[in-house]
Amino acid sequence: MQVQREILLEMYRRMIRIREFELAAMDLFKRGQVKGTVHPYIGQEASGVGVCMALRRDDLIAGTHRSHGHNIAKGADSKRMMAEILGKETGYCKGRGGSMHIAAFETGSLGALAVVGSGIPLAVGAALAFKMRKEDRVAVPFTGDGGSNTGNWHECLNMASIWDLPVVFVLENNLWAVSTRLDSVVKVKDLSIRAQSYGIPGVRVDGFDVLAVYKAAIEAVARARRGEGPTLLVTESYRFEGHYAYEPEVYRTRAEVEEYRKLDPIPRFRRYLIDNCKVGVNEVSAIETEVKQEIVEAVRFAKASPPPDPSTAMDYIYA
Amino acid sequence: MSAKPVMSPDLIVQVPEGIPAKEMSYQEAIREALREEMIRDERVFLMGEDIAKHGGAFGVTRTLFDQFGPERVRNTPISENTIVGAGTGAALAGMRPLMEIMFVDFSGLAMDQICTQAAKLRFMTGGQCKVPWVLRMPQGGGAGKSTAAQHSQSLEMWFANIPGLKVVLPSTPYDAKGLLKAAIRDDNPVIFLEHKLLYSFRGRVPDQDYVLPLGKCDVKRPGKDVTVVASGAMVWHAMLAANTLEREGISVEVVDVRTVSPLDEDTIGASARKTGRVVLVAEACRSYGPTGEWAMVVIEQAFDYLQAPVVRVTGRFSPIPFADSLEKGVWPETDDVLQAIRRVMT
Amino acid sequence: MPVEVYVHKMTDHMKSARIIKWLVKEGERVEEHQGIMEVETDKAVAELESPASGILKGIRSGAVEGAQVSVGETLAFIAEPGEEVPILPPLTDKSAQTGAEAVVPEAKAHAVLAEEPERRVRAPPAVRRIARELKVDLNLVRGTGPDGKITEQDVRAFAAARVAARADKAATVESPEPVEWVEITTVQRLTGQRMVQSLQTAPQFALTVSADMTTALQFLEARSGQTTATRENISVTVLLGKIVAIALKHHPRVNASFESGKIKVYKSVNLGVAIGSEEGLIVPVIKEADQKSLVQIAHELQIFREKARQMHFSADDLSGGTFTISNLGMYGIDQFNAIVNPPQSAILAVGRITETPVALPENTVGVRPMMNLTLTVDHRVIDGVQGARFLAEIKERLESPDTFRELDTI
Repeated sequence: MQVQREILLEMYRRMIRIREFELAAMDLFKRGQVKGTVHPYIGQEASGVGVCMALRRDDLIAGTHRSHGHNIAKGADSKRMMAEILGKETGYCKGRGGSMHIAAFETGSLGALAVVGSGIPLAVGAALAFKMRKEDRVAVPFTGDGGSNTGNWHECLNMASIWDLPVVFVLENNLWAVSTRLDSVVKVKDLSIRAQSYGIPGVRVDGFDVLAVYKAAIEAVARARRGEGPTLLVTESYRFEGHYAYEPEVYRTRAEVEEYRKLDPIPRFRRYLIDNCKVGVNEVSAIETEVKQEIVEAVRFAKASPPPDPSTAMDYIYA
Repeated sequence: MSAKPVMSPDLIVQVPEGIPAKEMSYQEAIREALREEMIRDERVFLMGEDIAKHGGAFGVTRTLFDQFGPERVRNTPISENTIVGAGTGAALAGMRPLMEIMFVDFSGLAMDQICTQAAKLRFMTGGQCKVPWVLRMPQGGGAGKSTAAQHSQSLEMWFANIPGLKVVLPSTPYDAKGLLKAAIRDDNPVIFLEHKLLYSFRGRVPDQDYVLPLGKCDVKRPGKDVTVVASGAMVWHAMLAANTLEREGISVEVVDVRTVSPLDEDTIGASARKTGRVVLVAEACRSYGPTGEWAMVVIEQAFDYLQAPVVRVTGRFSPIPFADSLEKGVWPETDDVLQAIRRVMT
Repeated sequence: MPVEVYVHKMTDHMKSARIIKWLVKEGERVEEHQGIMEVETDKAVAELESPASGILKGIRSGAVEGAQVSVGETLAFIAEPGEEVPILPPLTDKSAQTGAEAVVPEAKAHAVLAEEPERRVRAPPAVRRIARELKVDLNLVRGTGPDGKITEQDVRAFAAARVAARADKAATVESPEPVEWVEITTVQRLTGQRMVQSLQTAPQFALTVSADMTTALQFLEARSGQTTATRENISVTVLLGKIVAIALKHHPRVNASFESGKIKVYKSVNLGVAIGSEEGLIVPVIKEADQKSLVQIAHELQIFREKARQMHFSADDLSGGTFTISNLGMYGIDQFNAIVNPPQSAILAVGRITETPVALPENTVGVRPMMNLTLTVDHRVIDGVQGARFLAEIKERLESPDTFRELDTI
């Protein structure tokens, strides 16, 4: 399948943006400037970007606790993302949500949701609304291997399947649910076969290959838009950092992490663009420089922004 | 609810004779509200188990499937958390869903979506969204008529303690219809609790469209000697007690809470200041139940006007037993309310 | 073992005291009986003595000048150097007596008889608010509700009675006059409270006699000429005091109290003598007055007068009285009716000695130094006949030369 140049470059830009954003967030965390913690998406950029680039702005995604990447992949502005992480009034959620509840609604994101699996029903409900109103929009909930064991996940695949809802269930299998390895909690090796219980197609792709993810997503989204119901799309990926920033990762070996780092999707796609897409080194370097600068700006913007006014503490509880 | 035959619709008259109205049951009144709102706003739709052709476990949604079809009256699998979660998602995407969970006792399965997601989404996102849904759930029980521990609880406090939710507990057909309409038109997640033993209680309901305000108590009976604050089915016991005491020359004011949260503290406070004597009646079990909250409101608003300690009548703090012989004390009776009123009058 | 320092009960009905000042600092050494603190009781200023020798430690937070403390409440400790003492929670402020109390769910049976000036007041919050609005001190109101609870009617009746009393005085005032608000001392306030309580509870009436003081005055003049080792001046009050004390031994019923529906007769005659001071009326007590000589009584009275100037009485000075004498003769008063000093049952009010024309035997008229004595009694304990007999004996003794022959020897 031929992908337009602009799309390819935008994919690369977004992957770099996620990477730089997460590195900056981790740095701020290390300096004690971020309250709580952050859950870096580093290593999984291809999965999020591949899926979101297959979506329209008016399609909706629902995230997890690890959703900086999802929001950015869907088109969120890095300044407002960074401001939200620092709890500032200029953040997407006006400082009320923080890293784990960050939501850029105007880009079609229902946001990050911190309780594992609890964003999935929201996407299913949105899809229900689309179908009832006969709109051709699609809802895409993200979850991980751990989330696919929650009751939510199964209830949702079941409900979406019987009602043929326009949902693409994206399961980003990064092998580790905090410290729990997949094979210790799931009997099957290939998570995509779980789709069979619900009578829907299950697809499995290399989550480090942004184009592979993109192609699979395009197909699943098209199915949904045609009214043919949901698809389960499993992207096999890996997080290079800990569950949270600077976690002492006692549960997995350095060797394993190093092995997976070799599959880093960003240098891989960079090579692909240069080798196969007639993209010059200068072009990709320019994108990298531009995005790095953008993130520096975002950090500066976030630090300079005011915190929310305490007198507004009771706002937004009720509509 | 006591099996005594003295409870009658005449105890609570809310629609005077002159106004064109029909007598209908609490169950019918709810159905009318659903029907009228679904006609009025096509974004309103129903989701729940067995609510379609079957008409719901308590028959509330009967005939609605025939009128509105399977798209707008949806039977779901047994998936409480996702019923509410999908309702929330649909609300985020611009619909106004009405979910039904068969018994409030089952809401435990959906607590994450109700309390951790729906209640907080508007706040966490800094106002980027709103969640305009209604979750209808039957609750409560009564002596001789309860279906024991897992089907008869009164759990309004579970939800009243969560900021972001509203909790409604109507006591009459008139209130049920008006409050349900208000809940449907409200842009917040509203927990609408229906007392299952009140489904057959009848009362006059106006023909003309009307909406009652959420967050306001209703003084069902004005009085000057003692204030009785009650909710749900307990309002009927309070009214019966008030009638009985009138003959003894004691003037009882009955305040029906109607909306558990947000609580209309001003009306409770004004009544307490007026009479100086307060009795609180709720079916939920005693400890950490609604009467504790109401008592503090009385103290905050009316302490300097109290002539006697605040007294409460509540359900017993125990799971609800099955055998009739074990039921005494689980459900407040009219006699309990009478005794409590007499106590504060000395 | 650290010894607790607390204000002990110093007068009959003392419940609390106000700290005037600490005389010793935290960490300083004190000897047993050394003055540790000055306190103001309901009757006077008194010195609290150290219960032991050692170091004053662990002064409780809140036990400062001006603080109101309860009798028996631990305020500090006397301990060995280096010995640890417990840290006590801060004192709670007891200065507001009619503040709102927490609503008590169960009514406790509590006999509220108006014997003690500082009884615990029981009133529901609504009644307290009305009392605050009407500026009624709930301590003064008698409750007619169940278990002696004070009702709204009780408060309003009290306020109305007070208004009526004021209205009489203010009847002539047509336009508002400029006024000055004067602070009253604790002594004045508490005296006032006791007087109200006395009148509210004891049915009182007065009996008056006029005594011919010719013989008595001769005796006093003769004594004043003598020089005694202590140069005491025997005054009319002293003389009366002795005579009254002897008479009380013969009329024990007059030396008694009404308590819990019964009459409590005191074995000792402890004579209270009313003395004026800057702070108000003070009644120090001469213990066992019947057994003391005139000289001794005069001596004690002199010391009391000096103490009244400093308002520096000990706990003992002011407690235990069984009968009171009040002499306003030196102020030119001919006669007055005193108010019984609770819990006593009788008080003798003395007027001035004035040359008065009197009828003498054989239809003649003479001029004699006459003095009016008025005995006010609590009718629950002493009736007219009993009071009359007592007063008659006093008059008789005052007018009889035999009395003075006996007194000369002591």
